[in-house]
Amino acid sequence: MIVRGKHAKIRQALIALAMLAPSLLLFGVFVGYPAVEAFRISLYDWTGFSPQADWVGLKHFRGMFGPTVWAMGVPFGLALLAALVIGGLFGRSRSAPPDPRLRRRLNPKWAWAPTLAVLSAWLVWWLYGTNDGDDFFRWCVRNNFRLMFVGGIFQFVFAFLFAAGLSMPKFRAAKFYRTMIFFPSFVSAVGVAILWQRVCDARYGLANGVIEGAANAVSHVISYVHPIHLAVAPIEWLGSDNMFNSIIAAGIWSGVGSQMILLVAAIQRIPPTYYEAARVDGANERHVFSHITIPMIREVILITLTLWVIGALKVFGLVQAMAIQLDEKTSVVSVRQYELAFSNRDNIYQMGYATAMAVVLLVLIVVFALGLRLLRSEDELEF
Amino acid sequence: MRFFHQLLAIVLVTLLAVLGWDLSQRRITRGNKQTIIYAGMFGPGEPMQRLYSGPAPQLEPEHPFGPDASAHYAALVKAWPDLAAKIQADYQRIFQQSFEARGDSDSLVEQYRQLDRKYVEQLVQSLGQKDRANRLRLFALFADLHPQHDARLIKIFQTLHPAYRIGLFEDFKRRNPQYDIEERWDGRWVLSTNRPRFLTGTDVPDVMAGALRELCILYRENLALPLDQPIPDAEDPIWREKGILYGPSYKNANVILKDTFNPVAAETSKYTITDLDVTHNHHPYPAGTRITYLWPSLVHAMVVFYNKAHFAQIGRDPDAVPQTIDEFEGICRQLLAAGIEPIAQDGMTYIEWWWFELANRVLGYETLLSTCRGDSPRFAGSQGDPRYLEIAQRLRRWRDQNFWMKQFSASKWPGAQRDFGTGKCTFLLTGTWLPAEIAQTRSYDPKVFDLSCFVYPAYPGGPGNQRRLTASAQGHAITRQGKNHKGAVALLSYLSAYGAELEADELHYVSAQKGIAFPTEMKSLEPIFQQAGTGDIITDGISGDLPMCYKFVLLETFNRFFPLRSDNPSPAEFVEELERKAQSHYERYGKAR
Repeated sequence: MIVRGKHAKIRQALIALAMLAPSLLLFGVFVGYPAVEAFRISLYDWTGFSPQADWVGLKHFRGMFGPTVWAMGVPFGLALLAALVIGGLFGRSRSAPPDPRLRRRLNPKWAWAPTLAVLSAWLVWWLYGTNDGDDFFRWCVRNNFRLMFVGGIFQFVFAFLFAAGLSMPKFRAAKFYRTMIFFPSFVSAVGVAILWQRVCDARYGLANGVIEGAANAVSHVISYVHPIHLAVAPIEWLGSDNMFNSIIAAGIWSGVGSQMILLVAAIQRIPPTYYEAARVDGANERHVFSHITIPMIREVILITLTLWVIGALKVFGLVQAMAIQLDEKTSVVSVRQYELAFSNRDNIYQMGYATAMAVVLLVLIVVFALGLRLLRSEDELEF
Repeated sequence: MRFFHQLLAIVLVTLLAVLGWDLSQRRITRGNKQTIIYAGMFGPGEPMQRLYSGPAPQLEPEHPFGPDASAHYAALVKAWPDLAAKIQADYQRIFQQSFEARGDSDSLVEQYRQLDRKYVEQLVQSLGQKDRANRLRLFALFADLHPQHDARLIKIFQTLHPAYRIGLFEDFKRRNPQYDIEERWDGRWVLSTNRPRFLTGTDVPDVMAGALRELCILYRENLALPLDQPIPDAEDPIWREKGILYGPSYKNANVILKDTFNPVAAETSKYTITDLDVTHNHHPYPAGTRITYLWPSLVHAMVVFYNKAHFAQIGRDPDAVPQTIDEFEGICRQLLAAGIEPIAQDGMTYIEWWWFELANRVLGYETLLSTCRGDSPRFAGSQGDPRYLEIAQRLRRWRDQNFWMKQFSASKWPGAQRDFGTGKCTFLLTGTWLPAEIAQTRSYDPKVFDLSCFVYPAYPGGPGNQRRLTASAQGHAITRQGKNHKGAVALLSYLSAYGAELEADELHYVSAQKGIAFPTEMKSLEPIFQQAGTGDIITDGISGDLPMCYKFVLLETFNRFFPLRSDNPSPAEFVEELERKAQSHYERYGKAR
């Protein structure tokens, strides 16, 4: 909207504000206020049953991170400040605009990089270099990261391979396979958990049954030459050591379809003329893939990765339903939060502490989402 | 713009109409009745459990009416002749024998005749199916009373608990027309579900179901009514002067409610006021006062269930239960030699009870409580009690000798009880809720599975009473914020009077009421319950007395010690870790939590 006349800028700003007001109001009421309120609650000891709550300040955070991390608060804060300053000074745009006033402005994207580097270093040190504070919580964060990295890599590789395969023009029955691969995404987390519990049951499960069947078949074949019986000890897929791997496998199985669909849609959006032109110029399949397909779907890849990162850090239903009883090797932050805040069988009701965990989780999600934003291309492709 | 205003007006009028209709519903449907809001959870037979367990293999399902209920069949046939052909055909199909009408009585025929046609059709339909739910008894109890509630009553024919309670509610409403019950089945996390109601004071339930331990937060935060203490602002003079439980019982005005509970139920329904409750929650009672906050309906005790059929297989008298820990170990070895897995066990569910029960025998509960509270003796270190290490070593030996079933570490609840109920293992340490939980999945062939139980064996030379039982009560609390205390008391009195027998009979629970026969599988516990004194019962154990220590110190360490893991601590490391975790717990939360 173009506004002319006296005080045009002020009037334009007011109009913009008026148009943004409903969104800002909704955001403030449903996102901003709860986030601030969550931080406030994290400063109290509160059961959530009556208004009575005791102010404890940062005690929950201190207990969560432990004295070692707490003692490093000042040096870390200074490092973070330095990173912000360094980012501000040197994080200029690579393609600086000709206007010197604009050139002086910071490019907010790279200005975050040193800060993220400091935060990441601190995170790694806290997770793997310290041993005080809340051990269980630290394990939970590690498990979330394990799901995020290990599960993320496998899921993305599978999704990408399926998407690439199903997008090939001569692939027969692509719709059928696409539906089959996408199908697990329809199943609720609890359904997936129960199904995989059945599969992974050490005594009666499908997984061990298949292994045992394969061993018997091999024994049978070999016995024609030499009498032998291959005995395979049942693998405890749901035991403490393997449980989280089983959860990751179930997560990949249920999530790969939705990622694949996004990638397939992105690949199929690329105009075929691009491929034709490249092939006329002598490009082989590898060149086409790396110079056309990947760059053209880069934004979608980053969106799928961002969604996965957020999902992996917030994961709840699958772990809660699949693990049933949780130890530190199998729990994740959301499940631990739920146990502490809502699990009335334990009679704990640590609403304040659980909310402090939620605050930390929120910070982690913001940090990782910002990190992924750095990978986004500055120039959007339009086709 | 005009169109926009018209649209807005239509939306507003519609919203107001819906709101008005919604608000009027309660008034229209309930008239002048006083509503009792009942918040319950679920129990045995909940769908999740059956989903995990699945049906017991190779078992012919029993029919609830059974071939012997011919009086009811005959009455039904006589009362509804047009449905007779279907009833008889179904009978023949299910019981593989032709139907012979015998034993019907005029009153029974009349009862069936009075029922609503739709209801009878659904009844005949359900009778034509095989399942093990005991619907006949329920039918006989409630169906005749409520022909007008046909659809509702169908629920009592479902196997799901708390279906039977819905029937009781119907009966209560019939007997007490001034009351209406608003039932809320809030699932296992009934307290968490209702937490916002407590916080805002809106629609707070009058009655909440749960165990003493589960409802503890209500007592701690002074949100529940004390049942055996005077309530100064109560209208009822007895409540004002003595307390709710001093009022007359439902069936007999000469007996006070308090005296209808058995001693174990009465003892395990009490909560001890702590210092924290006084200083933090401003409780009016001094610390140490034991107050009955829970209106008990059942009592669960931790016992060792065993399969008598396996005792017979190893040449042992099926009723000769082990008296000492060493004897128990000997039987486990015998079972192993006979190729039977001795103990059914899930990796992380109830496995801690082997430690607790052994510690109760070896050290005595008071010593264990003292350690957990931060006093002496300690788990390890200079003030450490060597018996803690001895307990850990013994349990590690059991694990290494394969006393617990194969792959127990990876077994998830209810894997152990499924294997136990189908005759694969001999022992299972769990609560007396077990018979109800495995009723749908266990084997009913006595050669495969013959269920009985015994109290955890004694440790010769151990302190105190070596027959001491850890027990917990299940029941209801009356909320302070609830608006219908009188109705709540009337309902709970009724449930105690009429529900107790049903729960013991149909669900195989140990009732909290005096004079109710114990389920067959737990007959051996009856004398203990009848003679129990205060010192013979441990109420809930550490999980009740120090819930945070239980969860953050003990359970988290046990989960690393018991199941097979790559980083299992040795027994010595285990007790050291217990001590280390306990110390850091005290630093963070103090010693009394």
